[in-house]
Amino acid sequence: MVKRLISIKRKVKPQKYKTIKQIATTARLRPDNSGKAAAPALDAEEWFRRELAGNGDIVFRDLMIGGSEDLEAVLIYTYGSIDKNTLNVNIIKPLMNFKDKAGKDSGSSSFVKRLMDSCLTVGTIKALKDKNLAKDEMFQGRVILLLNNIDQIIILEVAGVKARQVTEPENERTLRGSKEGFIEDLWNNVAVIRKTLPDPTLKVEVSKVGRRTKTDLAVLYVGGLADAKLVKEVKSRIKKIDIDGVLANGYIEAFIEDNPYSPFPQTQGTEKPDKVVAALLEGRIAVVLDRTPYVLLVPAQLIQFFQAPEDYYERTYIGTYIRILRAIAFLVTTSAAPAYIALTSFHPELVPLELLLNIAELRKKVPFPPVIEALIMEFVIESLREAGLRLPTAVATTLGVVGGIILGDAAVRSNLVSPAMIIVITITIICNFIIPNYSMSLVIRLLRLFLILAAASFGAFGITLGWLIIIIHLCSLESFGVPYFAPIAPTRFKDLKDLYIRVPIWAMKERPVSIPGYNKKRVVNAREQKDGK
Amino acid sequence: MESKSGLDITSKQLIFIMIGSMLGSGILSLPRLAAKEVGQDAWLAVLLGSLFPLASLSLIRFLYKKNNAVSFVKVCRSVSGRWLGGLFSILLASYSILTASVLLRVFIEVVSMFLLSETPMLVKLVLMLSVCAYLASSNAKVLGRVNEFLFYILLPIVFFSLPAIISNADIRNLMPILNFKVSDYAKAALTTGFAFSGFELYIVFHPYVLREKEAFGASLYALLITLAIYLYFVVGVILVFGTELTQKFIWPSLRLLATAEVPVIERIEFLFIQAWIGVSFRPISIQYFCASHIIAELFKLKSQRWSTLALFPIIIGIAYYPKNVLEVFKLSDNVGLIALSIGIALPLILIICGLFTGKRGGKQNENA
Repeated sequence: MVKRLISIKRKVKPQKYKTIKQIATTARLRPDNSGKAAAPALDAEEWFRRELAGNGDIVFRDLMIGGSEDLEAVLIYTYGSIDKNTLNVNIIKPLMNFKDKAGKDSGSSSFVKRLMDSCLTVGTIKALKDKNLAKDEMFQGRVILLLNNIDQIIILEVAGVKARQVTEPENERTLRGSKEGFIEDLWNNVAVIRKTLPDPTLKVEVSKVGRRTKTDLAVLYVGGLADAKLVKEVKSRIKKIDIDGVLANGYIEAFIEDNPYSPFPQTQGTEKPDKVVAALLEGRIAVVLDRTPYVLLVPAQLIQFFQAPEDYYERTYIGTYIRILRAIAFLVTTSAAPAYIALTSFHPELVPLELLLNIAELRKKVPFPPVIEALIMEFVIESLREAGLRLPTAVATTLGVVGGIILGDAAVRSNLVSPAMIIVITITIICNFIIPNYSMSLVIRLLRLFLILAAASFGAFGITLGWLIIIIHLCSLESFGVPYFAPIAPTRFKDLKDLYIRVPIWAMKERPVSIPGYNKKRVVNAREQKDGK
Repeated sequence: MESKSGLDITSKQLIFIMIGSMLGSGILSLPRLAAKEVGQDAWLAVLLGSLFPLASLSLIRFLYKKNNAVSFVKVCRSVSGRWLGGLFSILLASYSILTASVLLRVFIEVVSMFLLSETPMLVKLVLMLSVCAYLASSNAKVLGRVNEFLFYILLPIVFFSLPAIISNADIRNLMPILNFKVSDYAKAALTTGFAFSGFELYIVFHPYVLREKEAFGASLYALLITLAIYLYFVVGVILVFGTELTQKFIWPSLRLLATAEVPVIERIEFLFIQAWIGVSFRPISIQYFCASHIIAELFKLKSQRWSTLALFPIIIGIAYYPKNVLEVFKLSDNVGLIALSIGIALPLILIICGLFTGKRGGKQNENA
């Protein structure tokens, strides 16, 4: 208490000894001071010039409105972030040609209004008085118009940064669905979602994150479907983010997820608008961040990482078949290598005799235990993959040939790795590529490594214990209050028809039970109506 | 479906937790124990044995009906005072610790026999208990989910042996019925009653069920399902092996599972051992959970993790103590006896205490 008092005193003290200049400036800015005497526009320009000193990309363009000497004005903008053509045609030209019908002596605010309403042909326009606010607006790609003698500042939207072309998403290709992907521009992404879902209840709540980057962030949800509590929770978590820079979506993810130390991704990211809309219609919430061509969906559940849009677009048998294939691939990619290690080094008696002899023959000359072999192979293949990820396509192909074919062949010939192990690891890697979500396929690598080590130390017992740990962990995870492992555990029988078996779309009459929300009814079954009464 | 705190479980999850805690090591040796006293009427003994847990469950329900309390420790304290109540709680906790240790040891004996014979005992104990501790340090919701998941995964594996049973069964192995003295049946029922141990933990989980009215029904379902699985094994084993052979095996159920034949895999029971790890991991962690939960509440610990951590060396110590399988079995028989007496006596004592300590808890209202 005492300390605070002292500090307040200290704060007060220097104000007493203000320079006369400072007092003068504050006095001049008082609203009751008559505007004409002090010529504030010039001062505003001066203020901006001082504030923006050292920024080479900022342009000050002096002009005279309607060619009249006493209506001087200044346009201030950042050179790279505006559309010059629009600026010339829709702002500078009309301003210079502006013929004010009312007399000059009419009030300044009505002049600004006339200017905005009948001269400046720009979509987004506003007038404000706070210079600092105006400065921030300018740095986000808007144009400031300062007028002589008038203390209002006009902000014009003439954004013209070249956006990337909408392309097919790299990581989530589809054959039958929309090939449109998100790009870096937030407003484009929101517009694409709106175009797919032109429902008036689709809410887009925009805020800014990052003290310095001031990145736009939009929270999207369907008003009548998403749980209000969930929406509130998401917004409050985003509001709490206080960081100076938000460069990508991953920052937001790290701040809003429930279990920061879990290896599993707890928000689902996607590059595809149709996937986002499907999620919105399930009552989930999308978080779109500017400068990231990747939208986060919350709450996320484990199964969503194993579903692809294609499952729903193809016939139900195919969808089911692919789902089951994926489940098996998941088991194989996590457990095939551990099982091989456990069988060969701990329980050879379990393998049928002929197969065992085969394996023994192949392994005869290999000097390492299976686990070392597996780790060598894992290391090589993971390195190949990581290297290929960032290289130009042409080089990556060469790398694949050299690394995969030549190295693999040489390794077998020189008896460093047994062919059986090569088969196991290759199948493992192929199955890993089946997982539709990239973040999940990354986690699966870790799971595999964990299980390989468990198997190498304790055989099959180790694998089972390892799986138990993974299951306990999955059961303990929650994403925004929604159990992560649902509908498997806690088992929601109603949702099981979209798990391994993908029932026809018209039979999914209700939205998933696992995700809270209103208005569960999704499909009114036209098929039943037809042959019913 | 939504929970206020991490403690609340749905009545469905209670079913799975109860099944998980009952369906423990009993499943492997039950046919042998039941057949020992009454031979081919073992299934009858199992049926009779289920009366003990039934009585216990009813008593516990009655206890909570008389006294509205939010947890086991609270109900103990409200009926028998602060110190005596604390003592009762510690009694149950130490029983849980003992049970967890014995189950752990029995489990590791099986693992040593089939999977890891050369790894040192202590390593195996620590390894297994660490996994259990991971679950025990979480909350009841997670416990419910894990049990639910494992139940659905493991149930089909149990019935994997059905074709083998049908093709090898000899119905004469079950004949003649009712060929023993009444006292034999009583003795056999007592033995088979042990196999249900784990039911007494209903006393801990009852107050956490979201819709408390459903809790008792759920526990009955759990008992019924456990009974059905036990009956399946007892009848199956005796149908296939007959009474005499059944008693020759230490774990006859495993032998039964081993009779199933699958092309590629050389020894099918290996898979069942893997599944069985999942089965028997459950009672250990549930007992462990209850012990650390009670201790955490009793000593007002901030997190259950501390009590889980503190109990870890104690359980390892007790589990490491017996020298060989025979001692383990002796200990496990004793634990079964304690389970029966705790399951019946503890709620009974608490109810009687409640009658004496005034009508405070007597005013009964439906708490939702």
